[in-house]
Formats: sequence, C-alpha cells, structure tokens
Amino acid sequence: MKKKITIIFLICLITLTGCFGYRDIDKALFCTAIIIDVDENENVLLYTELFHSYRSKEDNSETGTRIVLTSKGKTLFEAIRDQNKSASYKINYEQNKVIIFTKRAAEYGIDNFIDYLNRDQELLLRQYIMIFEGSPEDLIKLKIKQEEYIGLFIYDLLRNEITKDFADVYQVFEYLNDRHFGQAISVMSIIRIKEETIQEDLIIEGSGIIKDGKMIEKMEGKDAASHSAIVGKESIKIINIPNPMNKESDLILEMIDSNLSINMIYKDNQIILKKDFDIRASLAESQKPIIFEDPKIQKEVEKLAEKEFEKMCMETFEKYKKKGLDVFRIKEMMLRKYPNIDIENPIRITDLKISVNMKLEGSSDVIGFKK
Amino acid sequence: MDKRIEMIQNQLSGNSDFIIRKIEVNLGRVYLLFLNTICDNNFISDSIIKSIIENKDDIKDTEQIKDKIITHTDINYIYSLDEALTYILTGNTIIMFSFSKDILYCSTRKIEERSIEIPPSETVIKGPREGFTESIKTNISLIRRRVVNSSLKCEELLLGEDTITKIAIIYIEGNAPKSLVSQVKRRITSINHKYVQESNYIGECLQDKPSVFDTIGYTEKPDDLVAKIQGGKIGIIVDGDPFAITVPFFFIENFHSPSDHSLNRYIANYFRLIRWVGMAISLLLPAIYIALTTYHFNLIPPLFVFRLAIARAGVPFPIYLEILLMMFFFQILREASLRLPQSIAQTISIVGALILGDTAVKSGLASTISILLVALTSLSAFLAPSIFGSISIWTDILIIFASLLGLPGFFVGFLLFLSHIASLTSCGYPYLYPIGTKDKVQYKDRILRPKINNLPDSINNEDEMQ
Repeated sequence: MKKKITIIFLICLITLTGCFGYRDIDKALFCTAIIIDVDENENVLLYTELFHSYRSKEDNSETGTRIVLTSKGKTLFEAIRDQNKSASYKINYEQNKVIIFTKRAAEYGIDNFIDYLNRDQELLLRQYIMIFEGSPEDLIKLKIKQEEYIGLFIYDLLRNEITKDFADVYQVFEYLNDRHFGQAISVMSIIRIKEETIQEDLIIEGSGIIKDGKMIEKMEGKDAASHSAIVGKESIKIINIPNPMNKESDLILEMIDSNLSINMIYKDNQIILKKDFDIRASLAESQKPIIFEDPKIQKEVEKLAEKEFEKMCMETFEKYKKKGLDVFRIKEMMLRKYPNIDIENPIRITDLKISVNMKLEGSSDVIGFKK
Repeated sequence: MDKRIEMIQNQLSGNSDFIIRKIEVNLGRVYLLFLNTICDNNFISDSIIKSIIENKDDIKDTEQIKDKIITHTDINYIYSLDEALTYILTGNTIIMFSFSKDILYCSTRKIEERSIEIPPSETVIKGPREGFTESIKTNISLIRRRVVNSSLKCEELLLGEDTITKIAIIYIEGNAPKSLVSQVKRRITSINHKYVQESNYIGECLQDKPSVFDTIGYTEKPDDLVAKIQGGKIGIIVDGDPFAITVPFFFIENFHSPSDHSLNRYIANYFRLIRWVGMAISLLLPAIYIALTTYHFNLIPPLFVFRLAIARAGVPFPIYLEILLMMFFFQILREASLRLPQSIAQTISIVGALILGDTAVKSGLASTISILLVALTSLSAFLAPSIFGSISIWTDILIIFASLLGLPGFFVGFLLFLSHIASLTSCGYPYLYPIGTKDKVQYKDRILRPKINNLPDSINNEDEMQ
C-alpha cells in the first residue's frame, strides 16, 4: 500500500506540473514597475522597468542593471507579448511592485486593462496601483537619487507611515473589489514629478476618483486625508489650530492613534451616518508660548482640535455630497446593512454626524513652552 | 604422545604460537597447551609450571592439582576436545595428563589492550571523559563502577562460529521491560554469523526495518550507557569494539549530548534546540532555496531576489545541479579528511574550504550564495553527527523533489521523510517517539532535558505500546 501511495505521489509530482515551470533566478528579467499609457488611437503604450543580472565580460564580475522596455499593442496583452520580442529572458512580473496608469490611460478607462492584470498568474494582487500626472517618458527617464528603480521607490514611499497620511494607498485586489460594490467608485493616489525642487523627485499629490473604471476627477491633497479618515483607512495625522494663548500663532497637534466606530441609520428616506472618532494626540509644535500643564488650556486645545477635525471631514463630505459622488462607500454600507433597500445614489440623502473625542497625551518631549 | 594431544596439535598445526609444555611428575606427564600470543606467559610460568614442578613428587590426582597446587580462581574441568580447542583459542591454558583422562582449563588470557582514553567520537565540555576500550572486561568494569546495584544484570553470550565473540547484554532488572529483555536476547541468540567482529554485526540484526536511520544507538561513553540502562534501556557490549549498543533508540536521542546532564539545564536545552535547528537547516534549507529561486520568486523580498540573481549571473549550471555538485564536493572533502591521517586531514580541510570554495566561485562554477548555503548546510548537519549521513541523503532527495516542482515538491518530499521516520521502530518502540505516540509514554528526556531529580525516568510502561 505504502509503495503504491509513494508511486502515485511521484507520478503526480512529475506529471501535474501545471503552470509551474523551472526557471533559474538569473535567467529572468524582473519587472519592478509597469507604466500603462494610451495614444490618440487608443493603442496601449507599455513601459516596463526591469532588473537584469549578468556577468560582466570586462571585469569578470557579476552585476545587475536597470533596463527599460517599451512596446505598443492593441491590448495590454499584445503590448506585453510585443515587449518580450526584445527581452533576452522571459520577463517575470512576480516582483512587480506598482502599476502606474497615466492620467490619459486612467481617463480612457482602467477597466480596459484590469482583466489581464487580474488574469495573469505572475501579476500579483498585492501590487500597488496609482495614477501618474505627466508624460510617461519623463517618469521612466527620471533619475531618483534615493532609489535607482522607480518601482521600488514608490513601493517604499507607499509603505512609509508618514506618506500614508497624504496618500490613498491602493492595491489591485482593492480595485477589483471596489468595482463591484456600491457606485463602483475607487480613489487612488496620484503622483507627479516635483520639478520645483533642486533635484527632481516624485511626489504624491491628491487622488484620482475612478468611477465605472474611468478617472472622472482629481481629489485635492487635503481632501484625500479627510477622505481616508471618513472611510476609516487612515486618520488625519496633523491638525493645525490657533494657539489658545495667542490666537495669531499656530499650534500643531499630531494624532498618535485613533479608533473609529461607524453607525448607519436609515429612516424616513434619510440616512444618518454616524462616525465617532476616539483620538489620542500629542502636541507637536507651538509657535508661541503655551502653558501646556494647565488643564484648562489642555481642555481648550482639545475642543479646538475636535472642532477642526470635524470641520475638515464635514467640508470634504459636503463637497462630494453636492457632486453626488459616493467616494465614502455609503451605498456599499447601505447594501450591507439594508440589503432590501436599493437607493440609486444614497450620498444625496445622507447626513454625516461626526463626533470626535480628542485626548491630549502631553507633548513629545518638553512639557511646556515658556519664554 | 597422548592421542588427544595429537588431535589438538593437528587442529592447530601451522600456528607458531601454539605451545605444548611437558612436565614430568611422579605419576607420569602433565601437558600444558596454550597460545603464547594471547596468554599471560609469566602467570603460566609462575603459577602453573612452577607450582606443578615444586609438587612433582607428591601429586596424587588431578583433583589435587586443581584445588591445591594451581592457585587460580578460574580453573575447572572440561569434558570434550572441541571444548578444549575453543578454550585454547580464547586464551586459556589446557592441562592434560598422561595418567588421567581429565582435562583442566585455567584462564590465562592476556591480550594487549588500549588504555582508557577520551572517546574521540563523543567529546564533552563537562562531565566524565573516560571511554570504552576494545576489552569487554574493562568495559563491564566501567559500568559496574557506576552502578552498585544487585539489579544490574550482565548476561554473557558467545557469538560467531569462527570468532567466538563475547557479547554482554546489560540491563537493570526492574527498569528494563521484561518483554524487551527477552526480545533482545531472542534476536541476538538467533544471529548465526560466522564472524562477529564488532557491534554493528549485532546492530544490523536489531534494526527492525532497512533504513538510512540507525534505530539502535551507539555510544563510546560508559556514563552515557549507564544513563540509558537506568532509563530501562538495554546495553549490549561486544568484545573487541569500544562502541556499545543501546536499544530502543529514539530519533530525539540523536540531538542529545552526553554532556547534557552535566551542564546547566537551561544551557543544555539551548544547545539541544540549536541542534534541532541545525538539523532543520541541513535537511530543509537547500531544498527551500532551490524551490524559491526556481519557482517562487514572489516569496523572496525584492532586494534579495536581485542579490541572488546577481550572485548567480554567469553560472552555467542550473541551481539544483550547482547545489548537488557543491554538496558532492563537500562529501569528497569530508571523506578525504576522514580517511587521511589527522595532520594531513587538516591541510586537506584548509585546501578544500578555502581554495576549492574560492576558485569554484571565481571560475564561475558556483555562486557565492551556493557556497554559503552548502557550508551552512554541512556545518549544521555536524551538530547531530550520528545522523549526518542519513540527513545528507534525505537532503539530496528533497533537493530533487524541490527542483521537480518547487514548494509542492518540497512538501511531498518532506511528508515522505516524516512518514518514513514515523514508520520506523526500534525493538518495537516507535522511533519518532514522543511525536505521534500516546501520552502514556513516560520517558521524559525528550526534546528538552527535565530537571536532574526527574531523571532517570523509565520506558518501562511503554510495554503496552508494543
């Protein structure tokens, strides 16, 4: 019996190789970033950033280099096939970190490319997706000092805790989910080349609103932070309030931790969306003197911060309510809570009630700031 | 000459060390027959020949010679010529008489022996350092010195038609399960080898199933053997071999060290865990490396993928062949170091490790990471030296499985490995104990060493498991 089982195991092992294929690690070109663009004739223009390892004939040493391949095709698959014509080894997408759509491609429609990105086995669902504002040639030629590979730079950028305050970090699997929920609206970060500095760099600036697979408008940076807080992805990390002891100067609070509890009530054709924030914050900076040990001052700072937080969220919410854009996934929440009630655009009948409980936990170093 | 002596002489003709010494006494002649190379010639001269000559005029019968003239504790009658021949061959002196048909033997065995030394295969940081020798007598004395208990039983058997090798089965009555004792005795007595030269002749017969894993234990240290027999196991000592056998033997014991009981408990357990990790590294690491670097690039962090790709750039062989080749080189090096005299072996190790490894990389035959991997794998395997060979073979098997189908192949290979060792038994006891066995097993010195006052424990109530 054991022999039979062993033989069956071995036969399975040899015959059921399926889609797997043996490939030595040095016999592959590793893709780190894919940039998708479209031309005037709606052909797909594909730019891939690749890592290639080789043994240098000059100094007989092993080394790696960055390669950029470009191709064109009627569809994304055709463009990828076309790209392999000029690749010495098969391009491997398992290490790809980011898929960047140019603004033009995003406006043309991400849904035109998403099927292949989902279907191909090497392209993983955990890749980040984002929109690039500018020319793809400029992006691919960009020399970033911090990292040779754009894909790896963006990967690190999006994983940076502080960056998350400004960015709508978005991955392929999230897009694949969101396009089936509610109003099929997704919000993903936009990057652009920052030219106003000494050295060119990439910067995250706002987010793109994708509806039914197409980018319809841009969300500004300050709204992106409030949006993240309302949907519960990330809290607003920095709040700027007037110093209670000197109204003309600023007091900056840094949010340490926040908890969000959400409740939705549908009554009389009206949706009440309650978002209760429980926030722990600390004093990050004070421009003018403040006696922070004073409980009264602390209470006042807390009140001001709560108000400011609420104001920021309400402004963003009202802005998109007016536009009728359900970027806050209200329809999805409605369908989950009230599956039998189908409202075409629930954000129009939604009132957002924000309740903030701010707790100041001192300062990061000095307790007070006196002249 | 007596016909009986002629017969023995004919049997032992061609042996220059065979001596027949005649002594004239008042009743006739006394013959001493012995092999002078394995006998204590001084003792024969002083205690046998001299005693007989001094009393040559007063001898009345053989009984008087046995009881009053030769003063030796080990002297007695034997009743056949075949027996006499065996006694001569095993270092005894046979005494025959022209005036009587009686035959006496007197134990005069003296073989040059190695002194008690530190066992080279089981060095310890702390604890007793003496090791067994080739003499069964010395070995038993080393055990008796440690166990002063009437329950310690030492049963001797003779095995091997042509070698007549003395075997001692040692156990503590009451600790060792009776069924185990009878099973071991039955299996040993059923051995009908013509030659029994060393302990592995017995060991192979005690293996329940053919396997690259030894399901019997070997030790060169008397304190280790004593610890095991105190735990209810059985020790077997073979004359002429410093390695004693212990049964049953469990897989976990490969990770025990004789100094575990001498060291601080926490430190001993820390080292035990390191040995387990070492085994895991040597068994699994090459196969996992091959699976990841040939099938599952997405499971490796990106920067490491690039480093690996750069390191391997220009190597002409596929990764699995490169690893197998380098492991084969290492085995060659190991064999060469092992077989050569120690002074040359050290040179060979340096040449192998430094020059071979370095030039293999420079010539593009192997990558630096492969060299590192093979070195780490091999070093880790040495942490449990008793299973070095077995683990090396299974490492190669897992490499083949992983190179055929990546991680699924690796898991299939690993399951085969687990099922193989789980199927093994040692004298009826599960080899993989305590993994996969019932809780009623009492033997507590498992992966971690318990407190000394919980030792020794016993396998006694495992009887039900057999």
